[in-house]
Amino acid sequence: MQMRDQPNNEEQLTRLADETLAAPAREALLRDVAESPELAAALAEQSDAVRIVRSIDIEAPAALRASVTALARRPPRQRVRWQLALPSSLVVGAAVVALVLALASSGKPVTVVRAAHLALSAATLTAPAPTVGDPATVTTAIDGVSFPDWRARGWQTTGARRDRLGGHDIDTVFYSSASYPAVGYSIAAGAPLKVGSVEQALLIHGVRFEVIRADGATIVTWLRDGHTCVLAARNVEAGVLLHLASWTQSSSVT
Amino acid sequence: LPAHLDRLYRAAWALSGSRQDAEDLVQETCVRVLARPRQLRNEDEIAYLMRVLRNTFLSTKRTASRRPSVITTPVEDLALPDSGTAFKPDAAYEATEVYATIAALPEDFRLALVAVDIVGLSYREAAKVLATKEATITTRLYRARRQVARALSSNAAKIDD
Repeated sequence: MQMRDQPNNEEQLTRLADETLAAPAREALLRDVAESPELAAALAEQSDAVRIVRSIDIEAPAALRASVTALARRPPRQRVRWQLALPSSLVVGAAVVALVLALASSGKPVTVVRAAHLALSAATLTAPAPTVGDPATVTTAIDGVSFPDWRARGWQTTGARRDRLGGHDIDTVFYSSASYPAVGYSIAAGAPLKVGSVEQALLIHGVRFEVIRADGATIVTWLRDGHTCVLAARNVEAGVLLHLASWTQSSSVT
Repeated sequence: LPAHLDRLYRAAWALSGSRQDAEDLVQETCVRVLARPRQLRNEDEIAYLMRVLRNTFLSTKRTASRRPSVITTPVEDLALPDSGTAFKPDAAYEATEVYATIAALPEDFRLALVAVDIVGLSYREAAKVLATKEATITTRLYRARRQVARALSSNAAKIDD
């Protein structure tokens, strides 16, 4: 038996384990492996690692997929092409106009905390009724994303409101229970809102929930089908909001 | 992007060692890719995604100390109702253990293993993405796999005991 030097063995064992070693070298190495317990052990380690690592087929969480899909659906950034076609002075002028228009129309960027202010505000519409034939939802929805019916958990709808903030349509439904007088649940249409500083993040059933404390309120935010959901309340523990949020996410509400 | 999302997520998890960080890493990678779509024309998509993921991972590591801390609470700590979802605890546990092992590898070994065994690049593609020689990728891969196999075998032995 003519043993190869160690680096050559390592390279060929690596390729043998993942079946990328060319046939002539493969046959020669297999003969060496058959005669050498050390080589056989080394090949077994390589093969075990390849098999274990490549067998994991865990999928990306639904919330991440929804978020990326929403990102991919955004219109392409046209200004990149403008820069190629237009003189720089025009580009700068156009950028200034766009910036002024954007500031005039939307003011500050829409964040989860800003959306939460709506969830902490007073209702302006009557409470939505349960959806006939669907015990999991009430009749209010935004872009097909329904608000939950939490009567089975002791929460009643008490009112609603509809707002437009920085180009986002935001619907809010208010709930109360025997223990808690008011919790607001807002859903913002459009691209996900900026989250900002997070106190705690939790992964529950593959969905990332983030807890924020702001302006004396507790806020929980997460994504449903790429839409930003915000549960906000004062004097309500984060755990209560997380239970409601995760129950919504894991129920038949879509 | 959505077509490659699962592979990208697994790669990000193995690089970062945490599901939460993996989600952030994938999000940031997608934002960077979508901001410069023209670069996808003359390059294989998954190799390009791996290159952006690697760059994002390295730049994220550099700025990690400036980021707000995120506390992860195990789901078992919450008395949650039954979900009825397709959550697979066995698969998640296996992935957690294996990816934690990979995340503990030296950075060069980790990147080589993720590029070849998780993302599925050829040795040549991995060498190009990671800006090194093909022979170097092979050596790093050999050592990475050996360390992973030994660590997982050691873990299994502890459980058996």
